[in-house]
Amino acid sequence: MGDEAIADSIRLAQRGDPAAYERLVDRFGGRVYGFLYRMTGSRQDAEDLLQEVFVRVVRTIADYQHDGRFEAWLFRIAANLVRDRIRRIKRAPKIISDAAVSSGSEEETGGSSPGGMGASTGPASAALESREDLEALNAALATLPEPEREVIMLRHFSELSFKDIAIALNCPLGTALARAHRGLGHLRNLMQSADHSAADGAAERISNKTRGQTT
Amino acid sequence: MNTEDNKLHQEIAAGERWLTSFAAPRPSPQAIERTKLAVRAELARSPSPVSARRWTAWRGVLGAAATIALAATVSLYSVRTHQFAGRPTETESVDPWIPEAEDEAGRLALLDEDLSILEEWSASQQWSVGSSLYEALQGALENSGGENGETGVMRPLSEEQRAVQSTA
Repeated sequence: MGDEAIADSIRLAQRGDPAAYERLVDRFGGRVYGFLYRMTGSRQDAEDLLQEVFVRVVRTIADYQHDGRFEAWLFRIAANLVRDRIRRIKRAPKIISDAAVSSGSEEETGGSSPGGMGASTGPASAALESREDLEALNAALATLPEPEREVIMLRHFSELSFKDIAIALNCPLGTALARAHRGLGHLRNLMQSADHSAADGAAERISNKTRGQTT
Repeated sequence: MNTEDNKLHQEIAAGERWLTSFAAPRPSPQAIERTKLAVRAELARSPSPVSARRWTAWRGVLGAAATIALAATVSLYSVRTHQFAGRPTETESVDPWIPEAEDEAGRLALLDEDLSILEEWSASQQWSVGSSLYEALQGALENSGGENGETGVMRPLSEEQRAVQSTA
């Protein structure tokens, strides 16, 4: 869906065309959901918020003047709603359970492509390793302060510039950059620590198994 | 951009590349369908945003026109009320006084007429009578003292004085 098609859909949506709204949901719903999911750590919360985001779009799109920055406007709505939800429930994102990860329809193995829909499957071992990585990532995200997590997830899912993110979050550009830098560094350190712990654990298991075979 | 800023942007870019290696969560088809249903329900509940905005614009125009009309009416009414201030606004309030005024005018006319008559008569008569009386009184005063010593007005009149008094 190119920029022109998006502009047409927005124009039709402003006139109340339901099909235009559905095209916007198809185009941006996946990425908005991913952002909401990473922010809340809950699939149910993310789905509820996804509906709220697009209902808010219906109510306020008449005031939107398209200047090619529909994503910034859309993710600003999503960021405000998720921030309100997090403050209301006053909890950090949960670690995604194995059951939720193994549902198959949620996660995409291999590389990440925020656009598009659907899931692709790969070798079982690769999928298992990917799930463990995802669990570790979710656990690491849960330890980040909310402002840092917000900037990183907005950047990752909306593909907005830091300038647009700063406008969406109503903070200076330097603050947005600092949060992203600090948050990404922290995440990588945590993941590396988790990798080392996982590697140590795997080595210990192999060692115990070998000892058991020799005795 | 200085060296530190360059380093900052490079480290951020590296972190973002690392993050893209992780799978992105996807919504279920049911979640997407529920979102579309929620959108349709909201559209059914509220009017078209653009038509609502147009109606709002029309309401603004109508409201402004109504305000101007009201202001003009109030101004016109206040001006007309000021022009007629102090005057009898109802002719019916003056009518009860007219008959009495007419009666009074009639009486005054009659009195005026009588006064005119008296003036004319006095012009022809009064002065001669007055002058005769004056002379009579003057003579009486000169010939003061009556049979009984009355003086002044107490002195009885002579025959000539009585004659003059009878004609007046």
